[in-house]
Amino acid sequence: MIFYITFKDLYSTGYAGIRKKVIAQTKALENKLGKLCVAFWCNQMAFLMQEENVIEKRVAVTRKEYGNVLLSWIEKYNVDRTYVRYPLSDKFFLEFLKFQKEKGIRTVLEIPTYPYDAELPFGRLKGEDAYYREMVGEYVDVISTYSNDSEIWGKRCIRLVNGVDVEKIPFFHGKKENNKIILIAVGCMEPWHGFERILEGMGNYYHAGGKRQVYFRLVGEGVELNRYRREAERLEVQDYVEILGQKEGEDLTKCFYDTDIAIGSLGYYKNGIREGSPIKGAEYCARGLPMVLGYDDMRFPEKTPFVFRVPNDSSAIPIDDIIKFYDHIAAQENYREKIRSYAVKYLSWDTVMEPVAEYFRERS
Amino acid sequence: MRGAMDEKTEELLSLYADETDVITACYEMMGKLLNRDRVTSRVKELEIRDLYIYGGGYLGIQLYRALEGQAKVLSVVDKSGGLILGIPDIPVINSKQFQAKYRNEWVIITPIKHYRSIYDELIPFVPADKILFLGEFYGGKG
Repeated sequence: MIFYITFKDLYSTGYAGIRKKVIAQTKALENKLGKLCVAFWCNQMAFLMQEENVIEKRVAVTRKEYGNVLLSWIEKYNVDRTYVRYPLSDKFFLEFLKFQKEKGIRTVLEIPTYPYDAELPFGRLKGEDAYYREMVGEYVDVISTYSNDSEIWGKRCIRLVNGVDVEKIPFFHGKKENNKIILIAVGCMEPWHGFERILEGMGNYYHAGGKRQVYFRLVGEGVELNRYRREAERLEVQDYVEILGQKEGEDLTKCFYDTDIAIGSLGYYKNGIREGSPIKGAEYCARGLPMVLGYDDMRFPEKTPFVFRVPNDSSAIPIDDIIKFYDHIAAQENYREKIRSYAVKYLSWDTVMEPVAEYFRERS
Repeated sequence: MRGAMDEKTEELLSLYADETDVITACYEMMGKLLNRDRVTSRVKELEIRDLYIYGGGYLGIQLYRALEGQAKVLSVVDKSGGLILGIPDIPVINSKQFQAKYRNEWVIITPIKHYRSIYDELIPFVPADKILFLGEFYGGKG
């Protein structure tokens, strides 16, 4: 039996993207290796799921208790391989990894963001992690990462990219008013999204007499949303900015109906990160949308025609250039279908997770 | 780096970390119970009508207020027979009185740290499927 283990509350607001990713990764691994279970931690309860149905639940208030519950389930279900989503290191996580090692359980540890120090606020968790992570390499076989590293903490890396469950993303080309361009950004509105750069660009564009109507639609909730609202007002572009809040499923799909360009993360520079492959990029691609990205994305090589790259800094995004980019792309026949096909070919989770499955096959 | 901390220090720090996790969990749950929509939807999902709240601490009182107008809280139950704060409009009984009165209603256990010992204390006379841990009441998947 294989366990996919997370230490997050997959069902709380703000974790929808991670939940989708975990479910998609699980499905991809199941297609290749057979049934597996997913463990997660939510409201002081530990849950074990198979095929999205809860098969076990236990009270687990602390990290220590959650670790103990995991160990008991690993024994109960004769688990021989685990895929663990890295939660930050602490004594209890180390004990969990040590137990696995002693039991001869093969494990791949996924580090969703690396390096991650700049993302962590100063506090006890950061301190605990800094001390204990130096020992993680002793207890895991392989690390999977979305960075370009070939080795982390002395362990070989399997390089992954964030894929997409293409079948679950509806594809359509909605009707729209002539001349109008709608930009869309979906996310949990964190500083590294840097969407204020679009707002500033829109301010410059309209103040310079820009005639083409360009709208910016923000979907999601988070710490930066109020700032975006204030910035839109300060720059006098609030009439061109739609703030729709958290949306999922069909409601989210409706938000995309008449959109033209998706906006990826534009604020990685704040965390000192240059590259990445966030989940959203793959989803935008599956929806057939051209994109604006402010970082190097391994899934989209430099000359990918449907990606418009902007510098990884705080500069305002030049809206005139975005318009030119869009007009160039939109003049091509079936451009959205072509973007969608790219996702099918390169970004499906089945393709992305193959190296992990291969590793588990070798060691089983 | 390994060995920079002796075993005794490491053990003390892990105890501290565990205690801090409990306090953090309590704080988060105090906040989450302010989400009235969530509480309402869980009361409906679980079909809770009459219930007892176990624990007269801050979380017990917070849950009592959160459930006002949504379900009938028959009483708060606390070993000491009192609440941590003197609030006259919240009924409170001790464990012995509770055992005498109990008639198959729901019981939500609020003291996060002592869940297991309270569960063991209740299980001789409360059916397991009528006992909810506070986090379980607030819900997640399943």
